[in-house]
Amino acid sequence: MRSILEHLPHVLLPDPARESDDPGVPRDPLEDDLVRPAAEEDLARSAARGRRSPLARHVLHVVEPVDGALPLCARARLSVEGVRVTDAHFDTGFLHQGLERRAVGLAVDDVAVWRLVGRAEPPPLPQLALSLALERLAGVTAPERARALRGVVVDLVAVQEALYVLGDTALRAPRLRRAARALVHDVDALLQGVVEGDTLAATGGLRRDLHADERTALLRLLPAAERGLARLELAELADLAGVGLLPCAIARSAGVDGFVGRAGGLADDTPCDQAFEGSAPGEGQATGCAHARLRTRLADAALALQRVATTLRELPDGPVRRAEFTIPAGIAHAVVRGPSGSWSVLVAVEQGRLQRLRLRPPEVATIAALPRALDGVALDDVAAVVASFGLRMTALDR
Amino acid sequence: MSVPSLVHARLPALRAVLPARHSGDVDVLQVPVPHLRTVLSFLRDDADVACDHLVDITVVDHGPAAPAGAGRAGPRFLLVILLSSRSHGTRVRVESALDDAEPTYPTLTTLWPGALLAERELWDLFGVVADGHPSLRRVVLPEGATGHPGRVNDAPGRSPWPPRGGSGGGAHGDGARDGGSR
Repeated sequence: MRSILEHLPHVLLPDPARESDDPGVPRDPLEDDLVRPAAEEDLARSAARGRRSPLARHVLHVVEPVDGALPLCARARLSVEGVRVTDAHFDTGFLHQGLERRAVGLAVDDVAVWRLVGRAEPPPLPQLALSLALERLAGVTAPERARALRGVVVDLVAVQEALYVLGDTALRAPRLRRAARALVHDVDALLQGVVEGDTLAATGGLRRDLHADERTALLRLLPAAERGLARLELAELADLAGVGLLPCAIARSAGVDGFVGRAGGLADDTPCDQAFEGSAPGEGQATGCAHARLRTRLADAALALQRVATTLRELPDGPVRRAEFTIPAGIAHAVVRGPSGSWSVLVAVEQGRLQRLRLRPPEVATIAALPRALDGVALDDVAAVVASFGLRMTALDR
Repeated sequence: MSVPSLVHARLPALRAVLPARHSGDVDVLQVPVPHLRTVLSFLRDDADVACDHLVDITVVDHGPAAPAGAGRAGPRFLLVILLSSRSHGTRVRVESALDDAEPTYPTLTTLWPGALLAERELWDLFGVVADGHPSLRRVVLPEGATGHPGRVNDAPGRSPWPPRGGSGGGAHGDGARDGGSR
């Protein structure tokens, strides 16, 4: 228990009396004490003795930001016996930013997902899924060169996300954590080299091409990233083997795919418009535990970097965008299978404008499956198990 | 055989009420709400269809009816359910027109547990009720928020947040529907 509190200074311990009197009713955020030392001490002592106390029954673990009434957070309500989780409920925080609603009425040829939420950086996968959905409605496909570059983007996102997950999970392995986080910067530079600005925000292809000198620069940066990735060793996290199991059947029924599904032995064959080709689980890899998820992630990332290098070397010539075409009225959806699972985008178009934009990130399914993975997990391992799923709560903005 | 053909062949009693079409490379079935559960159970359980993956469930809001003579042709809320089969590599879209005043349909959580959050979001943002959902509470808005800001006629720019220090309420201030025990 202490290690959770040490590693996650944002842990919030609720008032147990109010929790038991009226569970689930949020308090006024202005009343929240972000950390209550006395409660923390009581909880640690109770857990150390393996006893159940009223205080130890509920732990509210808030993953950034600390104030539960602010947007972009996830919450897990855990029931514990001694030091083990007996029941878990996962919930999102308050995420509404009106993203989908603001898209209604926009002209279909000018929809940039990140502009809707005022972000500087593009979220590549939903933007790509949106372009694919509109292309499906129009009955066109992007040119070969654009499809290859889109594949490069999906692969680089896979590497980037793998490093984030590893950095978040390696709570007890500071050297590994530092190495993963340092490498993220290299991969960020690679990704920005491809999707600078609004490159992906184009139906029928890409808004801008990758110039020869940019390609050369990317190929020069890649070996360092490949070497850095190869140096990451998971031996320091061996104690996560067998911990946080997500059975294959649960993953399937919850709709989980991507690396979480494959780490549990689930065939990752969700029909997609643009698929990330992840690694096949190796021998003994598909155990469905936190360590298997990390191994699968790293194997995926290594494969993805290899594909990026190959694609950039053999990039087909030609245009990166289709010539003029019209997008008729109707409903269409597209699925992009990213490293963490499938991004689904549905569009309804009327008179050249969006009537509905629906973005469904993979986290929706993962959160539904998460409580099962926490069943019986020691409190010390909870943070690492949750982190091993690679939830990016910002993906759930609406 | 296409998915609509399989449905028509194996659920012959529903053939007359299940129009189908092919859109792009996706089969589209239009299912009246009373038959939704029967058809969805078939799509999941029939070995030749095997839609084991609920990709998404959402709604398209065409807005409230305009004054007579200028109104839209179809229903206001169109429920859209996206399914796929991992084993057959196929995708199916199911569409159901919901009642304008009481948009309700039977929950999909008993067929695909992954519908849990998506159905809460449908209630939260659009006021569409998944009847039988185990915990129909707000999910992206705080408890006590008012209204359903995903609806196209929701006041633009209106804050859905409850007043500070208050308990929310108002015309739509029902943070949890029936205490989450439906």
